[in-house]
Amino acid sequence: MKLKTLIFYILLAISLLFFIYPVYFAFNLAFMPRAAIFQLPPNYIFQPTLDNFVKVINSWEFSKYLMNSTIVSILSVTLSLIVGLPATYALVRYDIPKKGTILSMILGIRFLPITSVAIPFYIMFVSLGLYDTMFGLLLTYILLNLPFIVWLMRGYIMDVPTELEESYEVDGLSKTQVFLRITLPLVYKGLLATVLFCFIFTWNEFGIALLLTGTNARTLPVQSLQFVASLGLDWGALCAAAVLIASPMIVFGLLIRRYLIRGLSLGAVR
Amino acid sequence: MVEIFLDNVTHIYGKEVKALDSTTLRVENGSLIALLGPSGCGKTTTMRIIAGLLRPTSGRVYFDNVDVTERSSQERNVAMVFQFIVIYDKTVFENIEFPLLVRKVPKEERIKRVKHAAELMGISNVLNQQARKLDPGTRQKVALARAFVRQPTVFLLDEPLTNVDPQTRLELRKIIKELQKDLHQTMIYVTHDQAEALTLSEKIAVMKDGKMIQYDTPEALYDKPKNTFVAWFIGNPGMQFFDVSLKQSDGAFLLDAGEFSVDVSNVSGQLVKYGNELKLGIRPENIQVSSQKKVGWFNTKCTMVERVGNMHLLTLGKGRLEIKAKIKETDVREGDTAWVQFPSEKVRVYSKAGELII
Amino acid sequence: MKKISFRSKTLFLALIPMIYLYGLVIYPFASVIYYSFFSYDIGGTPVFNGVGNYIQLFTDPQFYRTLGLTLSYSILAVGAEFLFGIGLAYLLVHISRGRSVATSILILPLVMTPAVAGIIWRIMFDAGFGHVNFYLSLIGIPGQKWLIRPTEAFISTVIVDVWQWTPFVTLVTFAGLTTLPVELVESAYIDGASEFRTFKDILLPRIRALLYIILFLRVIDTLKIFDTVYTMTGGGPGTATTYMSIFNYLNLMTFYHIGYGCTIAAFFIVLMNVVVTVLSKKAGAALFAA
Repeated sequence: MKLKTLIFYILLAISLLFFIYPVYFAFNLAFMPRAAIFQLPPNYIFQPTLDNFVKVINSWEFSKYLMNSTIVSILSVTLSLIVGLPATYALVRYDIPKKGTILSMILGIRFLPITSVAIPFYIMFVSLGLYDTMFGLLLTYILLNLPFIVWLMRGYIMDVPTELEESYEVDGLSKTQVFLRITLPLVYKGLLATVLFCFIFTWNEFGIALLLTGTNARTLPVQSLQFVASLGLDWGALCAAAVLIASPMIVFGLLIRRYLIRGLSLGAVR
Repeated sequence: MVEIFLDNVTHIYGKEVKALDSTTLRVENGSLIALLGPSGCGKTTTMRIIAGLLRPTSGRVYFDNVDVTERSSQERNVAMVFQFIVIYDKTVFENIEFPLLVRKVPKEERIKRVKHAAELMGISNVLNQQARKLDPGTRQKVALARAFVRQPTVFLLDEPLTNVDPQTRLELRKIIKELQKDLHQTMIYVTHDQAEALTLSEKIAVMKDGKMIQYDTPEALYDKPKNTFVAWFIGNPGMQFFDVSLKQSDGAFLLDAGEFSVDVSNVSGQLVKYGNELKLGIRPENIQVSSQKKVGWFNTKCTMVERVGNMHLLTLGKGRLEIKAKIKETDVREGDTAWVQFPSEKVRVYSKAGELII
Repeated sequence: MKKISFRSKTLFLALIPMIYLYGLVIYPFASVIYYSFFSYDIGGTPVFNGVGNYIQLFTDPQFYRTLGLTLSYSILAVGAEFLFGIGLAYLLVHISRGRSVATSILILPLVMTPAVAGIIWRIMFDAGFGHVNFYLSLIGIPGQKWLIRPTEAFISTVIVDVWQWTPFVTLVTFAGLTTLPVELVESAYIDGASEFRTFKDILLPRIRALLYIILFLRVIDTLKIFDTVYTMTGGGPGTATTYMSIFNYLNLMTFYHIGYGCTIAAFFIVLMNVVVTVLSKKAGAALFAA
């Protein structure tokens, strides 16, 4: 019994090492002086330096792309909520014909090969002058966030008892007031988690941004490819860039640990 | 089929909660006993310790004088049916077959025994259906068949009829009783329903707050409850108590409740040494009530008449006291004066602390 | 629930944005199909080409190679993720301490920006100073030319997918298992089943619906893999890791063939629709029920 437990822990530890190592590796190299990087066996203990970060932040217009990513993520999630939340509520609470089909179609967006779907957007955006603009990117990201908002919020709203809403309606609130003043406050935790989830998803998005942006509206993940081209063998700076791009998402991810799995499984896990 | 012996078993959950306190219990080979008590009394803990799902904090568990305390459930070869109806995501046949399958019983033998177990439970007609699609009653029959399909050392039934519809409950009660008779199988039955315990089992262990209060035959539990808790817990309603003092007048010994008194001259010798403060206990169904005045009976005012099944439950007021009497036929109506007598052979006397004296 | 009523302004306000957005979904479909019949390069003008693009696609050996690669990638990665992922869930269920630490670590690959993860692995797979080869040498495996040789590059991309998505399988399975009643496990133990048998025969079938959903999601997502592979290998060496999405992208943005790119996109979108339709028979119902 004891031996078995020990073996389980050892197997688990080895597996976890595999999953955490690339993250550890990136953080390690990001703080490593250039001279220590190309050494094997790897350096685990060294005098940490911020040189790599300074190099990344001071060049390749890092701050511009950071702004792009932040603005696009915040705006697109906000707009998606404005578009998606009332629709979700209607889809849960009203007897809409073909409800199942509508829900399936919204979910279907999640399964589309996004790089292929983005091609006509590219053609359209070039002709409309939306190519390489934040506005164009926003338009598509709203579409991308919708399935998550509708499917996740659907679950949370369904958990609110209809009787509760009806009792407020009987007391004189309109349907809109019930939604804004009663239902939303009840599901705020789920809403917050959904917002963070969509934020992570948008921030990390790569394919569409690669197709639809040039140097102007480009987001950080796409710019990271530029870092590879320009920094090449400067692994320290490359990892510093990686850490700068990914660490906010790691923080958010850990914050919404439980909800993240619910989001990734489209609400299948409660 | 074994004799089970719990030797001074204590179980503590976490650091504080004493679920079971120095309990000793012997279950004879081939007998059906019930563990009875209110929720949180430790009966399920006792069961799980016998099953090997819990390791006791201290004390030993013996099966036929073999110490099995350190053995897992599998090694003890026990069968258990839970209150929560446990069904595997398989067909009924595969459900019942599962314990045989994991024991590598040959195929033909398996088929024979599954069919036999299904027959006993009356579920032969659903053998090929998905078990999870059946109604709760039938699902519990499947779970029972899964327990009965092999020859375990002991059957543990943890409130198996609680989540089952009343019809199936009666049916299963009968089946369990018959199986136990036929198989002479040691069975332990946990329940909070005394009717179930009284009809099914040869002996009942009444538990409270992690302690075994009384372990006896149903008759003894009913007739001579060891303390006021058992007396109150068994019966519907249970025994009622009156604070009394022992008084002597004209050479007779009386238990005086203030509003009335009962002559106990024949047993007074045993009572004297327990001091003056005693408790008189009597079951509602042992009280005699009449609408006519009788010699030696005392008068009360009837405040309520309720029908309980085919019986009448009378609430009788006597000064500040209230007496409950349960009788079959009565012409006493609400508001009438009723004449009451406590037959002295049915009266039980308890010490101030609640222990049985006579 | 309320019957739909035309007085219900709220309802229409709520659904109008959806209708607007459907314009954005239907347009691309129509547009992709339309241009797929044109010979149209970036900077040029569209010239109607009939089914010429489709003939080109279905006679292109690279297309079949890409299709085969994508399928192999999907099967290998998803298979490995399920074996490894469910195995890890088994370990997690049977330990008493450290679950919280374990789940926190497992979250990391899932939230890591995929494009960035591709770059980090690209460094780790470096044949010279990469850590992968170093650790392999510690256990006696000679250094591999990971991203330089075709087969090794293919395996690398599978490894990265396994790294990124095994935690998903593990965490979902684990979450599903923890919702099961404790009596189920106890009953199986008492019936004489071993821990492993209980897990395989009793517990996993109970979360079958959940497993279908994640299988479905993983198959879809591996078939359209783009981010990590593109930043790690760019589809190379040669065309060794040119999976469907990358094939599509390269034809468009590197070779500037819009018409042909749309043909590939049209084929890919239809293919994915078929896959989703076939697979969602079981997973779809489970998702609606959840």
